[in-house]
Amino acid sequence: MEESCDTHLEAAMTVAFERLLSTWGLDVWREICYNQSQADLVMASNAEGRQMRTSNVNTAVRVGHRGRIFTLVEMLMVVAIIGILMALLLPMLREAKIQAKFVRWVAFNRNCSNDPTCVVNFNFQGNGPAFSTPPPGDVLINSASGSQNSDFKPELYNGYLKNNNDPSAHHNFEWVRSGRFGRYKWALRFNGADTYVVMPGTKEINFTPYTSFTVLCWLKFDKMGLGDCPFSKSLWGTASDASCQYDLYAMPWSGQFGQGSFDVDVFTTCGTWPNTEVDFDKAGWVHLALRYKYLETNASGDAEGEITVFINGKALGNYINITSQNPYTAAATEWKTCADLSIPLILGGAGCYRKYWSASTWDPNDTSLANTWVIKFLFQGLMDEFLVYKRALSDGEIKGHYDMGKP
Amino acid sequence: MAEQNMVSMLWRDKEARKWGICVLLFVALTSLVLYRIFHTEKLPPPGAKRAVICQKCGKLQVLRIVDPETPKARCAYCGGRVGMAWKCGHCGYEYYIVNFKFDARNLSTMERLRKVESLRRCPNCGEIKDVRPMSVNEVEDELKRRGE
Ligand SMILES: [Zn+2]
Ligand SMILES: [Zn+2]
Repeated sequence: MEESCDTHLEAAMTVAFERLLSTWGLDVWREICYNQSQADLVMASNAEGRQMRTSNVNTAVRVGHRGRIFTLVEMLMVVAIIGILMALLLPMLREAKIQAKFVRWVAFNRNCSNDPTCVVNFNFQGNGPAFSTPPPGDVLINSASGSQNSDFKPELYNGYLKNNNDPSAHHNFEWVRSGRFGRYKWALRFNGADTYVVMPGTKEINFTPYTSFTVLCWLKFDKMGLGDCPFSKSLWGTASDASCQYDLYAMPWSGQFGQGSFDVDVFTTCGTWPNTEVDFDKAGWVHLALRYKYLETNASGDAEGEITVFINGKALGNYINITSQNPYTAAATEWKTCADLSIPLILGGAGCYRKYWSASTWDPNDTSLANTWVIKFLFQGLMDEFLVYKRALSDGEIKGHYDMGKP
Repeated sequence: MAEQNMVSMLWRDKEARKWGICVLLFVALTSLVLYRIFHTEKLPPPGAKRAVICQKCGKLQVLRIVDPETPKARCAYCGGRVGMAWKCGHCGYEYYIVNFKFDARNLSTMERLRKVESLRRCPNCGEIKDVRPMSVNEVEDELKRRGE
């Protein structure tokens, strides 16, 4: 009874399928299906060769003289099973791959913290189980623990999330899943209006032209705006009166294809890279590194160093810093290095002299930090991972940071 | 033996082979497409919540903005174009700025930054430097205060 029911169903499906095929003009399929249709087709129901006459099932494909014959339903079932298996397996494989990458990154990041020259390491993660919970709301915890100095206090270099327009108001940052390692990795959304992160400690991250250092971070721009500053330890002022240790800011009109690039200020040098291969508005996550390598002290007693910017692990060529080479760069020769000013390092904006940038709120007799600076040129986009080393990392190490963290 | 026969026969039959390959490709492609649709590593949606002012009706509001230079989001009240809300620290005037793109190719860095500043100028008193983008919470508090 059941068998006959199945047979009828199969026959009905066959007719329907045949109509469909003829509608589409797929005669080839029909030929395969029907090349034996006038003969009595044989469907072997099992390997022992027990045979059953099924003259009313005329859609079977004979595939061997004595072998099994597929019916349409069987073929569709195989297709469906393969499909379901792939649908189940692919995501599982992918999830396993992402998790493995995340675990590898966690180990790598911990290793970075143990480097004796690493003074700042914000991994933008909480401390929950498996290291994968969102971080606590208002502080980026500095996990660097290996400074060469015995009195190094990593907590002095924690990053505090601030509201630039109202220090007493809650910050307007958003925590989001970064998408770099699936659901595991977190990132901070800077809004370009009032969000910045400040590190109160300055001693370990005060660099002079005689000390090498490297700053690395992962960024995703919403839209590159001129001057948008992912990090700075500077006081921007006028062309002749500005102070700087190091900063990096967006230069959307640079680049051979107008895709944007970055300028950096390092001590008294403003460096420009006119050419990068990355279109930052479309690129998603990009890895940026700024490296200053002290080379030697020249005959006149001045430090000579080499500045390099790395994008996605790749060093951009030599920078252009003098007007005769590139009329589009600033000549920063009058600038002061702000080592002695002890300006904090900030993420997501540029420190600027209040006396120039907000003169009406500036008190010439007040030397406090709040009166000295004001934060402008705020960055809009995501940041995930920020590290500072008190040495020049090698090209290979920077490439390693990129490889370990790339989505 | 029978299985071998089946495979070899399928392979020898030109049409069956064609169709077999087609079916396998179809399955593979469909699975890949489905996999891409449902399991692409999704980046968080771009854009931050920003304080904006409608260019048409002048209403202050909060919208998610990707590109502050030429925002695509429209006013929640009238559907007009919006610009980023800025406030003058000198006279307290609230205004919007938009389309602050310019040809910077022949300008030095400082000239470029000064140009950016000038585009953010307060239209009420002409202040250039002491101006700032408004905060989301500032706007929300203001709207609450006005009972909107
Ligand atoms: Zn409106
Ligand atoms: Zn004004």
